[in-house]
Amino acid sequence: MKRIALLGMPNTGKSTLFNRLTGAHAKVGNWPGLTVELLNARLIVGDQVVRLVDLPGIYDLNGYSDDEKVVTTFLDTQSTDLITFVLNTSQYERQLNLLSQVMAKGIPMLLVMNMVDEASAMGITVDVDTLSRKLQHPVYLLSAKYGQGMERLQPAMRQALSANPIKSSPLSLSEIEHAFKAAMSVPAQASNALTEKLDKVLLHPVLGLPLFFAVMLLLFEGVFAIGKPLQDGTAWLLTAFRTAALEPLSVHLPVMLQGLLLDGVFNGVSTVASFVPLIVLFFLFMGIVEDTGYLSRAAFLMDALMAKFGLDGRSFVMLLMGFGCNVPALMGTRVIRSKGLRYLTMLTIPFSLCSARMQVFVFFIAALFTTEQAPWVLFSLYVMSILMSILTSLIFKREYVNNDAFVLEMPPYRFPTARQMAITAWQEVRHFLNRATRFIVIGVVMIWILTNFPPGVQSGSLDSWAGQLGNLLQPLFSPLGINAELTIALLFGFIAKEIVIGSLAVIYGQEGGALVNTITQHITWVQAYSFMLFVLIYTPCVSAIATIRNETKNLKFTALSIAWPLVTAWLVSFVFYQVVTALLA
Amino acid sequence: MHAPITASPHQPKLPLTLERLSHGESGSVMAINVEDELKKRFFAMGLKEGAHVRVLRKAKFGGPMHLRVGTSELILRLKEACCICLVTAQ
Repeated sequence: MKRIALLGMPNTGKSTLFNRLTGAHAKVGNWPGLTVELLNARLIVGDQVVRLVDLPGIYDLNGYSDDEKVVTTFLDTQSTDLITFVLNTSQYERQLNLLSQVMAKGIPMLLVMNMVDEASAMGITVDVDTLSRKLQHPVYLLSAKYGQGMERLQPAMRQALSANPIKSSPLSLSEIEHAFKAAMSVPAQASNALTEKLDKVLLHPVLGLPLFFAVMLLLFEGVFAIGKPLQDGTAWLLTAFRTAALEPLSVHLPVMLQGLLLDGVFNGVSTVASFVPLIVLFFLFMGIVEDTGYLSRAAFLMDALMAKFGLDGRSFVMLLMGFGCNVPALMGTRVIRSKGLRYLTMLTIPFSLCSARMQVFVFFIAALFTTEQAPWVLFSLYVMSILMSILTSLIFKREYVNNDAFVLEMPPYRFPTARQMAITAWQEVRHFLNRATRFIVIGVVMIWILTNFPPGVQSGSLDSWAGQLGNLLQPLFSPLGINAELTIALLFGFIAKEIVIGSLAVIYGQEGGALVNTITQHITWVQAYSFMLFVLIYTPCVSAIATIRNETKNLKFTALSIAWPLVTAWLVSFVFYQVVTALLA
Repeated sequence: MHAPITASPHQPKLPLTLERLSHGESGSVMAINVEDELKKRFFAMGLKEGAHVRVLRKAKFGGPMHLRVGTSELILRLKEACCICLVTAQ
């Protein structure tokens, strides 16, 4: 299969072009270096199927960052039939050096000048004919975001992959610069008026930071205001489905199998599934903030403070991204060149309260706190999450020293189209289904077996394997107020936090409102909060650990990133439970 | 760190470095005294000898500077800005 690679600097809209060409699936982010995995998809060009690869955005082919190494290794080792080089039209000048480096590789190339919408809004014009003639190379002007000019790209790719592609010889940097100078017209005061106006407010010396926190708070409020009713509705529907369809249908099945399917698989998965609307909404909102370019502003506002903790503005953005899911945030640290800073950031990211942990908290908070208390309890956990990250970086900043310069592009504000938002939302649903099949189903089945064996025991009783295991670990967990049932949930939560609620549904043999009632009767709010603290702080999931190992190839560091959160989780929960119990006594 | 500067005999000046500019001021880059690797990254952001730089704002508490270079914008810590020598437009 022939291979086409998309190559260009960060913030040139490569991922948007990728989505436009393939119809979805790559995540678009207005953040330098977000596309860190090699995204690829099959694409039909003329009468052949080719593989389109979206390479990470890089600044220099001879650079030393991990992203740049990925691209050079790719070009040197993978046979590439065509490079589609993507330029950001309004900032073409500084991208020409990379263009000449790529040209020198001698791989057939298509030159795409993207974001013409932004360029023409700034009054920049391109004389395509002159440029193509001077470069001796066809140039395509387009806007991947709005689809403008896309119709010419397919025929161009077909031609380039055909038996007689247009051959062009590499040009030197000065020849390229000369060609562009002749063809481009840039007004003296070319600037993005809207961005300047917005930055005056959002980067205001006094109001900037409070505004940022207000925006984040509003985002979380919005997620819950819209998401909670949706979650309750989904839970109600799933329970109705069980009583109306599944129970009557399964009456003839053997009791054991019926139990496994209904109380094991269905209860577990449906309890987790009811949170899907909330999670999708959360990612959608985060995605919008990310796409607008506001996160780069956050890096600017927070850098001075982060420097005190041995981190920088980029680390802060990665911590924020971690609120969605820790795994992409961990991979996003590839843009950081200093090994010390990269390790330090990777050590702090797992404390970011990810959406999977949010499910656990929303569930417990709804069970044990009043509606008025609920937002504050959740807020306190977010504060705790940030405090843990800060504490960790303060402790380890001498071990992992940052010697990287802090230079970051500040993209103009961009607003995602409805199409881009739909792609983000769909991707999150897919991501959830992916994890659901990998972890949640297997997890809940294992828990069902543990709680129902050896044969003949009462489900979830202390005589079952789960009960025995829970009891065995009680000396370790009862000082934290965590009972045997919750201990089992914690054990499985090590695999993925999505399993925690599902496993409680299986352990207690209930789902929906009935499960909430049982939890309310079995544990106190102090126990619940201690449990939530433990869930917040200990290892996020196996995927996060695997990512840390893959990214660092360092077993000692991976071991530290497991051990440090485990020990702190125990200590924090212990202190909290003992102190609060003593105060209340 | 100390690049030679051709000061005019009428108004002798110390080499002016980027971090000393304040909000709204601008200048042309004369020399960039950093190691090669970082210089490449500056170059890719448009920050090179001869480029015109304007300070859009400076963050509080000694935080980074927000700059405009040509049609691009970037942020840079003061520590790195110290390595960039300028001549002002005036």
